[in-house]
Amino acid sequence: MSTGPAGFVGLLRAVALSAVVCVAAMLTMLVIASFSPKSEFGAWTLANYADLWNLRGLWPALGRTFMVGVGTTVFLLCFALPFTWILSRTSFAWKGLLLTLLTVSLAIPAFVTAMAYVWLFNPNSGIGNRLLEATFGWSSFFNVYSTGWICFIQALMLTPAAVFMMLPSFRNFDSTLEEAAAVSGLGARKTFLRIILPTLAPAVGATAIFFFILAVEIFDVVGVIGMPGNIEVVTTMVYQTTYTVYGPPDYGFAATLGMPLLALCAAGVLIYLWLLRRADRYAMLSGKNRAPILRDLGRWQVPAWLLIGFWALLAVIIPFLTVLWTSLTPYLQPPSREALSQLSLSSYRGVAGLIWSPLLNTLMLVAGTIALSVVWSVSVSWLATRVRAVPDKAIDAIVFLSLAVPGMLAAVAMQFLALTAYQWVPLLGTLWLIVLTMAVRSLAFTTRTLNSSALQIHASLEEAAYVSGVSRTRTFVRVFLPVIRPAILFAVLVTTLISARELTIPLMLYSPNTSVISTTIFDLQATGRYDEAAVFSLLMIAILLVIALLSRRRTVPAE
Amino acid sequence: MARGGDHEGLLSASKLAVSYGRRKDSPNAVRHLDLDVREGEMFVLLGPSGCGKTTLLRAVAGLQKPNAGSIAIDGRRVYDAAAATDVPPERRPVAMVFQSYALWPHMSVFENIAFPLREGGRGAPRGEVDARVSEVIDMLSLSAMRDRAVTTLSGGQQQRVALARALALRPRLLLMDEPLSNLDYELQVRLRGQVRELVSRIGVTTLYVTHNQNEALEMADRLAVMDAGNIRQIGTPRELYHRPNSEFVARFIGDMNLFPARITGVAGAAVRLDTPFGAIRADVNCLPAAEVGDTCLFGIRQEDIEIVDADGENVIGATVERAIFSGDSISYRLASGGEELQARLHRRHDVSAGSAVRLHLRPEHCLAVPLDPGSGGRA
Repeated sequence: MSTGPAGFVGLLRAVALSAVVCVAAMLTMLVIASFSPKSEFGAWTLANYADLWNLRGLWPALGRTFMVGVGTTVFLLCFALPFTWILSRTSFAWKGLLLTLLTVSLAIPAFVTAMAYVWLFNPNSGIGNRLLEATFGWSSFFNVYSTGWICFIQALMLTPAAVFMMLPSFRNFDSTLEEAAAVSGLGARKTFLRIILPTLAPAVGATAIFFFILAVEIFDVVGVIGMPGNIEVVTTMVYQTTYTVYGPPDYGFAATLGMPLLALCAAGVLIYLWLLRRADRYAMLSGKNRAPILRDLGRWQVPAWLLIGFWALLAVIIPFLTVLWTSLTPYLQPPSREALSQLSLSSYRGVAGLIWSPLLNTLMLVAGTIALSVVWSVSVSWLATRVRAVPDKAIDAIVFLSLAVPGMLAAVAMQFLALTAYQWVPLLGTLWLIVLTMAVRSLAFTTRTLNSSALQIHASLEEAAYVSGVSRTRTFVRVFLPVIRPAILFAVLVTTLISARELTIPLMLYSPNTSVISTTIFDLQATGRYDEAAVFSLLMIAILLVIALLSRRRTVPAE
Repeated sequence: MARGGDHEGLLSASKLAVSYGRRKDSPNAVRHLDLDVREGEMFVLLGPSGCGKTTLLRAVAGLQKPNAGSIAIDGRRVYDAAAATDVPPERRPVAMVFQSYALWPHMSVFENIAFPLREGGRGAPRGEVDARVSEVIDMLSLSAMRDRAVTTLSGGQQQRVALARALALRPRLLLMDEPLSNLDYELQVRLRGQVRELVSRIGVTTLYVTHNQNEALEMADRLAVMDAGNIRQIGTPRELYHRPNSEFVARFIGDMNLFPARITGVAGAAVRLDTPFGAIRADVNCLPAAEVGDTCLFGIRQEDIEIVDADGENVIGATVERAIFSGDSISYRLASGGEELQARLHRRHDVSAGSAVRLHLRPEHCLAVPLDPGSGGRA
């Protein structure tokens, strides 16, 4: 489809180009910042890199960052693989319950879970530790301030996303491949090891790499556990460089610090794309897939229940109860007769006055991010799947590159950009800077979602409108948008969920007037106002729960 | 059918070339061909998959941009490479039925038909939309499903909605891209007649693409056989069936036996051929110019071969190698003169494998066909 009035294509290209400009500006600014002294634009220097080289603790932090990525991914697969298998390939009777648990857990942001575990298992005053001491006499049994706990909590929180990511390829697995192996005389074990595993390996590998990238870049857990526990990883070092107690923030050095992380993520993205292409090739091999054979769990029923129970307890029930308990008690204390007598709603009353500004800001942040992200990604996807000329493919590729930039570095780059361009574009310290950064960050996901949906819909639907005399604009509005509406809706729901929970970017960019719920919780926690942090967390969980349940129908297509 | 004094047909393409890739040296899907479709006729493009017939149709619709040549519809230039004219599809006086039907899944039957009328540049005045939709809905017996979602319809019903949507626009030119190929065989055969009848009753000029030769022969007023981006022959179904102008067309249409031959004599329309079976008289000479000593192909259709008792002109001896009984007819594989012949005979000629028979190749059914360059006379 190469014909058509240039006007409409031009309009969409202009919209898509503005996204490209933002992505390109973000990447360029990150590089420029790393060569700038302090936060001064354009005074080229290599000092930051020299400082980085001489920085004590850089190599241990890099090693630990890598370990956090690997550890999180390993723990994650221990949960996500069995769950995906149970949901897609077995006749387990309680799949609905498992899906609901996974969806509900999306409503608890990772930093809230991390907070809950700090309240439970910090070595000095953790509720859980004190309970264990009172009951069994074990003092300071758990120490949450460890790399292992960081990995474990991240894995707990990333499990649902990993399951939802792997589920389609597990479900689409052509079971005639298994049947062919069976009728060719291969046993069940051999079939699993030699047929099923190699076929699914690229999809599982791609998921593992994707979550490795996520695990090294998210700040939620390392921010809450790592910083007070003096466990340094790259993201905490970047954060502390921009939030110094003495002197102004050093965005130049922060960008330089982030370069190894950027390299790690970029390499991860390349491996991810390579694996994804392999997975696609396998998927295309079989034309008509039959529904997978659902196997009886048999004697694996008990281990399945144990694993689900273990995960649900640690990822959903314990964090939620801890937050609820903390919100009702004036200071951290284990449940006791005395504590019960002190239960009160006083922290709720205390929070009531603080709530409106963060709530309103969060709503505006979410709405703005979605609006920008959808307008951009719809334009990019239409161009990339319908016009498909060289510039359109380039736009699509550049937009996807944003995936390789960790959220924290995106924030550093945008902050540096806003500082530099302050005289011309007054974005510094506004909510719009946060919105812009979040929208750019969301593009990789939203364009992928819309692209795959648009590719499945044959272009003849739109061509039929053109040959019946309907203009480009009308066809776009009346045919293309309605037909990919389910994908748009899905992208909107996921973006809502992600942007409402997002801590990293707002935390890096907010000013006193633009604090959102997540940053408020983080600050309350950091200043020891645990009960108020807990009340805000409950509010956030309530909002997210509604969105998560709304999206359940769409994240998990019916069987 | 052509209007008096009109030299150009309703659709004419000249020196049209379309390539797939974007680079200059990409292979051409359509290679500098000329086409002329007369007003009111059903013109079929027939060819094997990949021959460029759909590409040609899409170029006429404006969905694919050609590289060279020109296209005029109803006397108006819609594409001209030299003048850099390229009218977008929404402003060409056409309507199109897609192979996939391309019904808009979020609209009902009524809305699918009404949408182009309401929103399109070639639509109807507001007050007339309902009447126009009702007209085609009645015409295609869709009134019972008028408000149903198109996704709930069967393939045959969807096909009718697609046709109704196209006809409601009252196009000057109707384009149909393998509209029946997604239906099961029985329905296909039934709909061929219905579509043919409907289109000729309305009198709309139609360009119809198919790879199915039976469909093409049954539906066409005239058809063009395409091969590798070129049109090999244009004519009525009878002309193409009886007088193929090339080996390709002879092989593509019908079940033709073809053998290498040499011309030994020319007598008016008839030629004498030296064939693997000996001397044969062929009354149907499809060669542009026949000279004694030229090589060509000798062709006879499977259903034109007869089994006889007596010797005579054009009677050859053969052995039955295999006989396949298929009810109304029997298919034979026969060996003669070191060659293999296929014949399809009425079931009254029931001969078992291994028997020796005499075959009568009637001169009026024997063709002298030009060789395609490079084929060597073999499939």
